[in-house]
Amino acid sequence: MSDIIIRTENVEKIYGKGSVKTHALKGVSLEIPKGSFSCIIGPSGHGKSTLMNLLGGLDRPTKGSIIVDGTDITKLSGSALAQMRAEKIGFVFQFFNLLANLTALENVEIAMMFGRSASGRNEQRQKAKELLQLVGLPQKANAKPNELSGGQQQRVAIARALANDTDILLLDEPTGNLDSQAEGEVLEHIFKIHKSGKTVVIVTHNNELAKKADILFEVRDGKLGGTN
Amino acid sequence: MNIFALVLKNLFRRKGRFIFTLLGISIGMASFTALLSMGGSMRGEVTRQAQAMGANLMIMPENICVFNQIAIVTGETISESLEYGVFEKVSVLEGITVIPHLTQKAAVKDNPAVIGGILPEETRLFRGWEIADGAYFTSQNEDAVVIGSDFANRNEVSVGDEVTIRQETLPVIGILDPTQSNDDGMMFVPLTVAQRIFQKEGYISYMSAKVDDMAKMDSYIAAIVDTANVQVSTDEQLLGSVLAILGSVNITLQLVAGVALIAAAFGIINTMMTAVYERRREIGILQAIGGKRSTIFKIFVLESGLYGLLGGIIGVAAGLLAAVFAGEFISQIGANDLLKGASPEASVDISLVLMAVSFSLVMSILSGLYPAWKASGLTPMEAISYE
Ligand SMILES: Nc1ncnc2c1ncn2[C@@H]1O[C@H](COP(=O)(O)OP(=O)(O)O)[C@@H](O)[C@H]1O
Ligand SMILES: [Mg+2]
Repeated sequence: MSDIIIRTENVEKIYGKGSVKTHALKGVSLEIPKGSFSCIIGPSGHGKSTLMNLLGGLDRPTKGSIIVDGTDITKLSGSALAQMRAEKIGFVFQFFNLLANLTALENVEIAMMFGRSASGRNEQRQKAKELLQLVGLPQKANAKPNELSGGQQQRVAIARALANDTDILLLDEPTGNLDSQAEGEVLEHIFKIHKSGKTVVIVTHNNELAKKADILFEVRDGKLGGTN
Repeated sequence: MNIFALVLKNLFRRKGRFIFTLLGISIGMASFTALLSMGGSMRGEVTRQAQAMGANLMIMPENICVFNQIAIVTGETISESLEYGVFEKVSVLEGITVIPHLTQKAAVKDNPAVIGGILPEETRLFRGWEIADGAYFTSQNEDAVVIGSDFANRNEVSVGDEVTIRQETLPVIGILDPTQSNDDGMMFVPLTVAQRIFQKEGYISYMSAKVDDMAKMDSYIAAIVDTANVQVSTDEQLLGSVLAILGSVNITLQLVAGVALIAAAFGIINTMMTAVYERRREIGILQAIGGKRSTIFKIFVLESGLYGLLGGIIGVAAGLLAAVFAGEFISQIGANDLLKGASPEASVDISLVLMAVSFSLVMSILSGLYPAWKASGLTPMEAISYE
């Protein structure tokens, strides 16, 4: 029983077929310990998002294996992979995380539909309220995404990523289009969540944040650079 | 939050598109239901009227066309005629009771009316008429009119009034009890009076006959045909051929309604395809948080099924209303009561309603299959990739 929660072995990803192929990842092997705080940095277009999507089971590698919590997810069927995402991973993307016609509260509740403990209506509502409280938005429960600022939307997305009590939180430039004050607020919540025991992997361009990471991965031209 | 709540929110999301798509299916279903319901009540009405005639045989001019056969059943006039002498020959045959009819149309009180020339006593016995108000004919050539109950109500005619038929003014001496047949909508005069007014001396339109022994039907028919050049139908044959005509008219109308429904189905497909395209990103998010392909499929099929359910309910309700109004309108402008059966109590047929709503539901679910399949075929990456 190792305490490594995510491990990749020689992962490659080639996009496209025929003549227009992009070799986005060229053999990435890494290990992420349970409960750690990891940052992924690197220039734009070098494969950070590709790596995140593979770690979270949103896409399949061209080669290599990805072991999440002891299971090689590259061998799972489509619906088993979806189940894995619901039970083990919380995702936050850079943009457009929320369903536009649902309120903040409903956006959090909807994730619970897919989770392990498909709980009752009242239970869902109660838990969603607590999560919005956790990210400091209890007063915005009934606001639609277009009534929220960018930072508030990202905090709702973080609350949703926590909805199923998954161990792993994957955040792909969650503060990429926020001003520094909003970024500070979002990061504060991410730290808090990490302290509660979650494994956090975050793609960022923020050097201050990168300095605080337990593990720092640099993705350059589809390969891992220096780690510490 | 559950799938159904999400589907409902998605359904009402684009109000304009929702309303127009719903209108498409509602209109299609309304015309379908109206035609089905009117067709059904027409059948019922024809059957009922044929039974109310109380005849076993209809004796008509030879080579009478099927439209005139319908006219006889529905109490309209026919263009062909028979000589009165044929009636005399048939009436002496053993085991047969026969009455002649001369039916003609004329404007009475500025409305079209069907006037029946009859042998007063024979017809009263044959049909079992009772007098509701006033008196009945006392001689074979009395210059007087007896009217059916509906005709009296519709034209506000009462005993003691006078009516003018083709320049002849006659007193109304009696009103018949309702018979539930076409007789209710007609006016009657003695046969000789009708022949004089319409210049049809020596002619009748057709005859109805009753036989003493149904088992000997074939020999009666043979005997009648032997006496003259006539065509004889049993009431069942007549009813059968009329219903066959009505059936083919119905099928044609229903095909037209079917085309409207197909157009509505494409409306649903179009709306759902647009929705799938617009919601690509959201489909990706649902997948990222653990939604399976089957869930995505379900979400879209349910949404399109709701169009069918709502459109079906609205359309069926509108169609039944339309059938009632159309029925009343037609029976007001026409002199016959063929469509009278399309009245509310006659046409709210629960099995028709259930059948039409389920049909609409099934059709809309089928329309949703392709868009839903497209939606569920998106990979999370395709859906999420942001351009
Ligand atoms: N869905 C895709 N189809 C084809 N090429 C892609 C796709 N996603 C990313 N790429 C390409 O893969 C490379 C790595 O992209 P990405 O992982 O998004 O980089 P980063 O997140 O570091 O900016 C880029 O060259 C990009 O154009
Ligand atoms: Mg990226």
